[in-house]
Amino acid sequence: MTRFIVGRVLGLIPTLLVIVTLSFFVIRLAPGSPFTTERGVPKEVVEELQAHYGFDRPFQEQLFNYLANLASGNLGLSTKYPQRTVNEIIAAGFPPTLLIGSFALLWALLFGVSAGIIGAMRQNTVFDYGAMSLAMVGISLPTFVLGPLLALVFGLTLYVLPPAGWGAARHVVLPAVTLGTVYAAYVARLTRGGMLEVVRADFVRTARAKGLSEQLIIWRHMLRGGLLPVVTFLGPAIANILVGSVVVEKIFAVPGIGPYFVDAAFNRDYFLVMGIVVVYSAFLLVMNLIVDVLYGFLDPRVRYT
Amino acid sequence: MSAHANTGGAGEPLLRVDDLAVHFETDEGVVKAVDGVSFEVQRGEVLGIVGESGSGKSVANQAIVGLVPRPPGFYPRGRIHFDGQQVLGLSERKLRDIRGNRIAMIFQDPMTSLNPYLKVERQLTELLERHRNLDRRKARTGAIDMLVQVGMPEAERRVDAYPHELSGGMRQRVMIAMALLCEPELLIADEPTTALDVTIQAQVLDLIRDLQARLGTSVILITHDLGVVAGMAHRVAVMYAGRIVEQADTDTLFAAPRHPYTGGLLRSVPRIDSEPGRAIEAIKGLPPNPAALPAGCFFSPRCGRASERCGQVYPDRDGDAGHYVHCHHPLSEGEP
Repeated sequence: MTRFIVGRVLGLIPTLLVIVTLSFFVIRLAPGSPFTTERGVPKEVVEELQAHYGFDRPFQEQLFNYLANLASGNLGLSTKYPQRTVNEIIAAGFPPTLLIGSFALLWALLFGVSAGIIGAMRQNTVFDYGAMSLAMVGISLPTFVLGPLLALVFGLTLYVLPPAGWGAARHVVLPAVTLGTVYAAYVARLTRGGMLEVVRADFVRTARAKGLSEQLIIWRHMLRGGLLPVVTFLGPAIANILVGSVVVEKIFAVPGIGPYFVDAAFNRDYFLVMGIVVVYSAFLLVMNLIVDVLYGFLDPRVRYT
Repeated sequence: MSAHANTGGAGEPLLRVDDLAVHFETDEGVVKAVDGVSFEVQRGEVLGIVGESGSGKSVANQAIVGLVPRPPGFYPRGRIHFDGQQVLGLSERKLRDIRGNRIAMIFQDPMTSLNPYLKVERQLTELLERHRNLDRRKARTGAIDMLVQVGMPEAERRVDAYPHELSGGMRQRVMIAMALLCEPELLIADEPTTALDVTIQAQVLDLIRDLQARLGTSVILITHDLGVVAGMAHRVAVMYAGRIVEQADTDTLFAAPRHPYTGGLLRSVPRIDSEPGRAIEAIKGLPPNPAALPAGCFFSPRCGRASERCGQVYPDRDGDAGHYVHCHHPLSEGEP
């Protein structure tokens, strides 16, 4: 088990290296440069800027320098915000994004797993149909509809939550729910499916024959097997949730990293794009690793080799 | 012997099932899985219930502990008295106090009947925690003791294994340990050897017989295999299409079966002393669709002795409690 984890962590490095190199090529192949603007910038100024950021060097050397800096944790300088390093921008933008993401995840799991269990245990009843219809709505509603809708109802009609803004705990609720709902819906459907797989399993009948309470049967005997499909889904989903959504952050004016990513791509802010890609990929890889480990924890039949 | 008080009088059977019916609501109509079954189990007795798959033998026994899923299942009539107490229709809460504690079950396939996600220890200790209020430490000791009793090699170590780390025979030993952990008065063994290798089958049967004799537990042994019943049961009930068609003590049933179906079953058992190359006799046809049972005797479409009357009237019970049969044209002694 320990060997498996160490091996997988070491394996992350080459994967990350490939991602970084490919992204580095792709962003450079895009037409334009960070210094292309409508206002004519004197040639000498552009050349000076190019030299300042090292863009005048041969391509291989630039890549090598970037990787060397990356190894020491330095993500480089932003071209759009010359007074700030990429590290600073990410350090400022990631916490709000992660906070929203964590609560979105919590919401997705709380609602999704509960609804899924109810659906499976009361299969083909009003509860089941109710929970699954709600899940269908959740999957179908885009965040750019759900977000303003929630802001309108809870922020501007009922006045119970701020419609937008940042700084207090209650600012987290609406963006987190908006972001998490679609995942909650998927989790609900996967939980229901997984629980239905085990609800008629022989070992659940054995558990009933032991005289255990229904809650204990669900909690101890069914949930582990029932949640396996959810765990598989959560690997990529957690990374997606935690790094947030540009749309949600824009709607609720959250000072997260999302809008920076989009702007950086438009502005050809090479290092900022790369920095966010690196952090995002590392996140995704680590989450997948955690899910694999968790999977083995839930199902003892999984072998680590 | 048993930790439970005997509230029934002398001669009162431990279990009495009276005219039990278990039906299922399905898309094709009502399926009468069990329809008017009566039997008794005395204290310390082993009752064999024999029948093909779908004959209702498992359903009838799951009804005893209230394990029939409702809906779609329902009980149109019947009484089940366990130790003098009517258990059919008992609340789920009260049934849970009986299940696993006073009536335990062993299921067919130990591969799927043990929870693959939990260690053997957890699957045993939870019974002692539930019914004996033991803490986890004491329960673990009790679990290991029981594993030793069922002949689990290296019980101390195996208690921490997951089911997939055990062989089929060892898994069934765990199932038996699980069933006997709370010293139940009644053990329902539903095809306990069907999913096992032949060599392991004998071991498991020996173990059940041995423990039954030692603990004085009453056993209902459900099987489709007459060979299993022969060496273990005191009495045998033969079920066909949801009803008991013949019941007798084991020796009588094997020596002088009266129902043609029982006779057919006995002839279809391969015998070591039969001539090599002789085909094993099979009962022709298939068991009837339980949603569309034939008129008259349910076995008549497959029966060589059937007369016109057999296709019209279900035969009444013939004989006494010691040996009875439902047949218009029963076999007489010595008939094949």
